[in-house]
Amino acid sequence: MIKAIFYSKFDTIEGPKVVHQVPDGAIVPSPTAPSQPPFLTFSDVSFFVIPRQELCGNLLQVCTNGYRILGYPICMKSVRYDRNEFIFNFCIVLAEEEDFSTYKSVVQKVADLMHGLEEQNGFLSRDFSKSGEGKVYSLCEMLMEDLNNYCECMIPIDELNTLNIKLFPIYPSPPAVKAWQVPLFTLRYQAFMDENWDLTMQRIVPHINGVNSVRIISVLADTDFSLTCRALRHLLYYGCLFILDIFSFSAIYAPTAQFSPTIGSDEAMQLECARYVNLRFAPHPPTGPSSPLPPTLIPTPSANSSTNGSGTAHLSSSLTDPTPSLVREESRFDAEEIWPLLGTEETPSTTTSPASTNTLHKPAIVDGASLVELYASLKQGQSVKQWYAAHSRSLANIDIRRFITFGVIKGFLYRVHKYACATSQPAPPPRASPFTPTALSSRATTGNNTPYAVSSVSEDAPISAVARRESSRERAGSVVSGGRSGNGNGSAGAPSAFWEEEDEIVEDEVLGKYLDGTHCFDQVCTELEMSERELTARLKRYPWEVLILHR
Amino acid sequence: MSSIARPPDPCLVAIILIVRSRTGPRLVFHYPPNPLSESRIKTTTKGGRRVSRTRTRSKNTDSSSSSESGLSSDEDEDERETQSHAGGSSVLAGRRASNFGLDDHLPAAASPAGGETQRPASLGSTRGSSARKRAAGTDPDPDDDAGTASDRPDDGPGRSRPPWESLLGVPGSVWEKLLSPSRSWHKRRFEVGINDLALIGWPVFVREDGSWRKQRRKKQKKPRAEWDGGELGHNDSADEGKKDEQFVTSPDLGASVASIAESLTSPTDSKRGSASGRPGKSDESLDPEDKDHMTMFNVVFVVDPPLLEYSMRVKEIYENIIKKFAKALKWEQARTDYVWKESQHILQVRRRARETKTSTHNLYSELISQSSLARAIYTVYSSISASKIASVSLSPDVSISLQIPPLTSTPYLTGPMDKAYPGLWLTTADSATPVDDPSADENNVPHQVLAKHFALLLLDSEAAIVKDIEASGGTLAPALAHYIRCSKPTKSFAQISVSSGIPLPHIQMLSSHLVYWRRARAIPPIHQRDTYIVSPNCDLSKLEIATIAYQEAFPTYPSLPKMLSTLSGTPRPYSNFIPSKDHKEIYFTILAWLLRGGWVTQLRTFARIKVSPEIKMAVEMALRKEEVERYLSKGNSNSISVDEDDDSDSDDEHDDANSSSSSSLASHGSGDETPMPNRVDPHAQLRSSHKLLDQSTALRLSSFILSPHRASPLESRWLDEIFSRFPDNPRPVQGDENASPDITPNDSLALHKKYWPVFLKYFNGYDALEKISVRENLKRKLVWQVLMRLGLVTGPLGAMDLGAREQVLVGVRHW
Repeated sequence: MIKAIFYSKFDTIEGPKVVHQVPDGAIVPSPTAPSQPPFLTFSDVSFFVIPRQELCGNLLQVCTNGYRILGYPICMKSVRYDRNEFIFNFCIVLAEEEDFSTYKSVVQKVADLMHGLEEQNGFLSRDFSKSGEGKVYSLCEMLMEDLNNYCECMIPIDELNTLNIKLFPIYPSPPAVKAWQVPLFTLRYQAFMDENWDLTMQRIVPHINGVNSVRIISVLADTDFSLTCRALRHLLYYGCLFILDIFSFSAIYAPTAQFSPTIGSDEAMQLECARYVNLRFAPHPPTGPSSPLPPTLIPTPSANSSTNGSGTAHLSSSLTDPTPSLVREESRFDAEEIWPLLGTEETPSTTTSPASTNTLHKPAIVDGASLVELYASLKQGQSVKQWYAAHSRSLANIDIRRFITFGVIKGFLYRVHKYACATSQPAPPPRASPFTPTALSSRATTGNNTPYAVSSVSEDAPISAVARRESSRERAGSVVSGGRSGNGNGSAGAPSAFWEEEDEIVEDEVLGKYLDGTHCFDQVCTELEMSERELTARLKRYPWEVLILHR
Repeated sequence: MSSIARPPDPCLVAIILIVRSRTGPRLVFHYPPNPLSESRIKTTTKGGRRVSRTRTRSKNTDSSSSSESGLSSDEDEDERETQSHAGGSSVLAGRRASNFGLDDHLPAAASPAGGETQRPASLGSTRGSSARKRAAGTDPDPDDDAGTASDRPDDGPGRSRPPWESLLGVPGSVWEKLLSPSRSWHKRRFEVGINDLALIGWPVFVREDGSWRKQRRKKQKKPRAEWDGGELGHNDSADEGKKDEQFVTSPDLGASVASIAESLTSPTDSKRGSASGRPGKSDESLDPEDKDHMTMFNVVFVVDPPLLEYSMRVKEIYENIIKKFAKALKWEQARTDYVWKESQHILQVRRRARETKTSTHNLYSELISQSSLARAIYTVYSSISASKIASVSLSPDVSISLQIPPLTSTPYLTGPMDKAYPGLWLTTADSATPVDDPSADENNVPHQVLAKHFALLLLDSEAAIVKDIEASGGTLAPALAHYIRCSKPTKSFAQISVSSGIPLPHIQMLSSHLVYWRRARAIPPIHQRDTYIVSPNCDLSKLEIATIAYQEAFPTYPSLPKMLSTLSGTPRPYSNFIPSKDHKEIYFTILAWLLRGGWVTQLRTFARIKVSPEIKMAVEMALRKEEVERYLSKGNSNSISVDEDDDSDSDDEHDDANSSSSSSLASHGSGDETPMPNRVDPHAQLRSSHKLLDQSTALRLSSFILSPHRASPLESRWLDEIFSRFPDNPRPVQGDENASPDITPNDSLALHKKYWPVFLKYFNGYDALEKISVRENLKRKLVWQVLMRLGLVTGPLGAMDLGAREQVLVGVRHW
């Protein structure tokens, strides 16, 4: 909020002088507003408002008495002035602690405009109106009122000049976008995109869906990669995007310290999560114009049969995938229907299966506390696949990708990335020698907790086929969200294993550059266009020992 | 290895010292000589960017003749104009104008004079500042004139300006005017901005009586005590007025402090001292200045903070550096007229340098070697701008240490969209959390006493630190050295206190000293059963360098990448990685090394109590039953008239509650808010809790108890119910959570019943369960047995086969 605006000039007789001030009496006592105590002592700051010539043409600010004064003094030289020069300054007064960054440009713009006006017709120097009257005063008044009330103004000054100002918030500039990152819209781009947009932007926008990586987006949209990054960065700057990681079933996620304050205690967030991940509310498949994506999530019939259709408009706007708006068919629905249903009980209930209590003769559901438990059971060293296998019943009606994504977006989950680091030791024989520390944590207990073992997990989980497809060559559409189709054991066994026969696709030197421990698997896979499975296998054939760090 | 450098940038650009005496303000010294190779200040006299005179004097070093001539010609004009104008107005003004021309110590007679003659006249006319007036008023003093004249014997026209006379492309005279504010800024934050630069100072003015310090005998305070506080360097809680004089002297690791304490000399003494002390270092040219006195000094720090971090950065450097440094100078000024003497000395050297046309470089090296004040400013600049601790000695007696305290840890893991500080210790285990120290304020006082259950992790080798300490001497040194030798990262302060015999408060004081001065960090004690993971915030770009350092430190052990690789994967207790008992010590040392560099962090366990629908139903049933009973008993005692109002009330509510049991939220809201809060009888509480239950859905969903030690009445009932369902024990009569049931501790099955009340307060999701054994002084194994029984699944060993009714904890592990 602007506290005051004043126009000051150097008077050849009186020295620095406040000509107009809004509100009246804010800077210097005014006979017309005797009750208004001045915010500050003008004489304390006059050396700043009307500084020495050397400092004119600079943005100056000074703090006094809890106020911050922003000014842009201008000194004009011309024979038509007394002493051949005219120094003036339009100053904005803010509270000292207030963020002033947005007002810097305002002050500068006003100064420039006034400079021009003065040059054209002596707008300022011929303004002999009394304090509180005249054009210049009303300009100050309107400027302050409009900026405070509407954050913008459009003040016509004469037939040629108009003062147009809009306050823009300043955001931190976003970091560079990486090829292996996955953008997701925080809002529906359809609502604000128009045909005047940048061409690259128009082309990439339909492919941003929280699944495609930046590289895939640029391939699908057939746009230049660096332009794609710049366009995305632009969207990022305005907070239109989240940046996620490439979801796959071999990825590892674990809770962060934000767990307890967010999902752990916030029941509203638990509800939001349920709405977001419940397959019952799964949105229609995205219908972007040229999207080659197969339909992602088809609501399972069982979930839909009992209730009314797919609709709720409650999908949080901040979290929806870019989907066409859902028509809400029913105005109300039972609060309990938000919670995903438990799957049918195949095995004697595992210890972690929540809500195994059917005492209330309600369909067994995954309630808020159970969602929290599910999140809490994600941990370092455990891939999503393994986690899913352990909680398949609870997760039966939950979109896994959205479930994970929700946690990442809300900041209570983080992706544990893998990094490869080659040592100068020759590669060990396939079974690690017993004395290395790696061997200490070897598969004796739960199997696959050594980094090496990740790829050698026995593929017993029903989703393995999907997982394989996920992690196989990163083709558009292979990273199907959730991949629920594999829930039956339909597609097991068929694909993959192709890499074994192939020749070495990636040379050792090329690969070697990535093995210094600073490149995560996602990056390597994206840049070398291979799947994580291929990469892991390839690393085993690397002539030197490769250590894998999880971070 | 030490990733303790402050991640945020101090943004320091330059330090300027301005003093003002009767002859006007002077830019005495600035460092570095050429801040910002490219000036960001446009020195145009006309507005806009299209001005004929627009010469961005990008580098103050290149005072090329063309630019100089351009300047002087313009300003000659100015001067003529102004002088004619001034002459017309009054003699005094004319005189003043010329006087200021003299006053200004810029050699090019014309250049500053143009601006000066004009501006001071105007300033003088409007500004009410007494100092200003005095400066003007004393003009006719012949001594003064002589003084200034002799001050600048070489002020001849046509001389080119030495490069150091301007700063950031703006002539020194401009800075002098700009940075010598009116007295209203006395001991306040003086903040001005020019484009992207912020100039911040803490100006100090001489008192009306000519002294620099209030006579303070009224507050009978032992100065000694003050300095003890100052020795620690970080206990001065902002400005409480009374601590005014106490600038922070923490000579590195508590070195020389005591000397200052005796130095409470009276101002008159100091004046005399100044008079007598001066001839020692000044030559005859200074004599005329004898009568001149400094009226103000202002050490101005020029910073260029990023726009979005402006207020934070400015505040940081102001609170930690600017104010403390200026206070120290004020102290010395009051004591020995330090600032003024040093300023005169510096000016004198500069004058000589101008005569001999010394190069900037030589001038600065001469100044820094000759003047302790110049050296102090140089030290502050170079250390602070490198995010280090600045150890400054103003005189043999007085030295201070200044720093912007670095960020040592963060609980937040930055995402791909945020600015990251890799290498920062990622943890929620800051040394004082609410449960750690229940008496402590919730709002973290920056330097409170370290919690006694933490341990000290040295950030350098023990030998190196001890050596530094002993080198610096000081009162604390022997105690510090002794403590450091006793300290171990595996033992908490309390344990060290017991084993070494050093009283706990001393240990806490010494540790916080070490922590504040970046020699150590307070961590939860390292334990082999605790779990450590590769920190998600570790700085892998440093892996290569760190691997070499690690190799030197532990040549015969697995390499750093190997170690990190081992700690990747499923988290498991650290003991799993220790090959044998003999290796324990060295593996602890390795772990300490890894923690120090932010490579690993402890994975801690947090838990909450989950309340299942059965519990809720059972409590609901019980409550209803009680209500019925109460209703019946009330019927019996109908004759008591006092209760009547209450009764009718509760009747209504009861009906209300029944009718609204189908979860109509509206009636619910109106029902329970208004009448309730004042009553304290248990029935009322039960009634209110009963009403909470009316949300039928809530009954059928499980939920968490967020803070068990501050449980609501209903939550207490749930807890009681949970407790009563633990098997293998006689049903407790009334389930007060604090009453520990009467069971023999040896009964292992009932262990969790015994410890449930003790542990309860940790099940809030914010207190790591690892704390329990340390804080409650229990065997770690026992604690985890109990926790396991309560349903906590940790590690790879699956869940124990236990009844569901005991599985009440939901645990989550993070740093």
